[in-house]
Amino acid sequence: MTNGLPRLAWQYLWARPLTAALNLLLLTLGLASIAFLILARDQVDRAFERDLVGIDAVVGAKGSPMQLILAGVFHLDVPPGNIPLAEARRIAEHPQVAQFIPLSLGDNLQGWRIVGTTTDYLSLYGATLAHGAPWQAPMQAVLGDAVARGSGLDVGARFVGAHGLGVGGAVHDSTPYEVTGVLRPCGCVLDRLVLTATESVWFVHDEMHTDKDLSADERAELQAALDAEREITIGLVRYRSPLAAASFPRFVNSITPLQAAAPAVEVTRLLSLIGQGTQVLRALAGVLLVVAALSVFIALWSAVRERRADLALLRLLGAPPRRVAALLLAEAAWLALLASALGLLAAQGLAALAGRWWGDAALPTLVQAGAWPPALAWVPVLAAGAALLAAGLPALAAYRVDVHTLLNPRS
Amino acid sequence: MIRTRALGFSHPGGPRLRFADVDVAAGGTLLLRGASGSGKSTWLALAAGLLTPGEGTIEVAGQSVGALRGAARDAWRGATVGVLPQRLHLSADLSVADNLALVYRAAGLPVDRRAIDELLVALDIEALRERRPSALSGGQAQRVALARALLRRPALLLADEPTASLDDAACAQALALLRETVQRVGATLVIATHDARALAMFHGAAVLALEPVGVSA
Repeated sequence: MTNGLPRLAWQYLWARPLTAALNLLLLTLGLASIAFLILARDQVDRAFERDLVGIDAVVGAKGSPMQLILAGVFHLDVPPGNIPLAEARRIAEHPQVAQFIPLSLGDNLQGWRIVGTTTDYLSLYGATLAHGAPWQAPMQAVLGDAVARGSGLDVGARFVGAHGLGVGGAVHDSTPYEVTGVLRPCGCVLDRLVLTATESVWFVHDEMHTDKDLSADERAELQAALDAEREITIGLVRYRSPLAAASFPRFVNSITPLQAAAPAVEVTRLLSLIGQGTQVLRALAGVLLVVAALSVFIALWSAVRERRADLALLRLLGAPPRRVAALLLAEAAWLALLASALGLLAAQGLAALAGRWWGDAALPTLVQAGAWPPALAWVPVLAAGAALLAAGLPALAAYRVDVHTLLNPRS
Repeated sequence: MIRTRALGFSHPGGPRLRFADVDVAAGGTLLLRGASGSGKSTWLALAAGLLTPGEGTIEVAGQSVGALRGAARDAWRGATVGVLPQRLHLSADLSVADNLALVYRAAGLPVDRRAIDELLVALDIEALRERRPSALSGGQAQRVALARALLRRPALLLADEPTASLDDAACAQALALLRETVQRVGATLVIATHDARALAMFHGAAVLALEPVGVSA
């Protein structure tokens, strides 16, 4: 049935190269948009899922719970404020809390956040060192993989942080860090963080206040005041029991001056917001695909009209009507196949560009090339659907072509 | 080889055509004579199995054409009947070689490149194999169409007005080529023509004279 048909369809398709190329371009654009959306959505979902591992609640200053999650878990937003160390300890000692990991933010290295924490933060993500060792004392730091690659720093190197979470803040010249280790890439948020002891962040900011010409008594008095007002930024909480999910946030939000936010709830809300945007983009991609299908239909319909004699000749040479119809379908199938391949490649290329652009901006590389989520299988299915739908009527016309007209000199 | 009995056909809304009985032996030649509209094309279409007889029978190589249905008739036509239409209908999108390969592709068979090459040489058109039909002269195009009709060595070749609009020299050349090539493959030849030059060239061949439509109805 199909012997030689794909080749013949290919020859007929490219007999009109401009029409074929334009149809291919249109189909490819629609499919590439859909493939990129699938790719981006899948990777964003995975990134959120990966960074949320083992975190039941995030505790921080009162404000927007989404902001707290974005700042504390994904390091995408600025935190709503700091919280007193005493309050944080109270939370950590709560009977429903199995683990409390403090995070202290405030400085950056070339845009990468410096996070004061404990080594429990490394364990949370199962991070291991590529070389070097974890910090043992304040002002020692471990670099995430992306930071090490981006900054060019390695074990033994020294660097100073800049105030604030974005590039351009005042530089803490007098309090340099020493790199003691570099993490293996974990594909998680740690890749783009500089990790150090909580005390390092306090020390750097204490120095901001004490580097003036103070007497010993004044310095001791100031230190006592600073110790009394110690703060951290955010606490990551793991519950002892899932039952805590109901009562713990209520306890924090009503009894303490802090707020607790559940990442699962906030991420679901965030993904639903992203989902609405994705729906709009998906609809636009759908319109592109419909336009492409219409264009393919017009091209094939014209082809049937122009090639009526060729199709009748095939019948004269012994082709049953279904083979003649299959020739039209095969032309559409070629377009679908080529457009699927080109669309998927274009989407991967777009993802690579997006990853590079966001990477340069020191933002999380949520979208990267090279991923092949199973949902991408929809791309060839959609391509085949659009192309075959467009070829349906022309194929029917080809099926019904009147071969007897070939023997009529007026045909 | 060709045997018709009480063969008749009516086009929807058209006149009823009735054809005289014929018997042509294998390798013989039949000339269908008649003016335009006398039913020559209909007779050819019946012999090729493109139309089903409305009445009577037509047998080609022992096969009653009307008894075949659908794909079986298409496959039989592809294997048994070669057709040289008046308008040659070479595909403008394909090269000469690909136009010939169409014979196999239409039938769902593997392309026999050797057979194509042999016929191109036999008809002295091997140099044209990569040309598009638009780059062929009228005579060259007719040779390509003849090669296409005879590629599968059919038992029957139907030629529809093969000398229409040819001058005398070209007419003689075309008919000689047709006769010589058909003899080489051993096919039975049916020529539908109202050209007296063809009648002279195939002197002694069986003739079926068709009356203008309506007279025999």
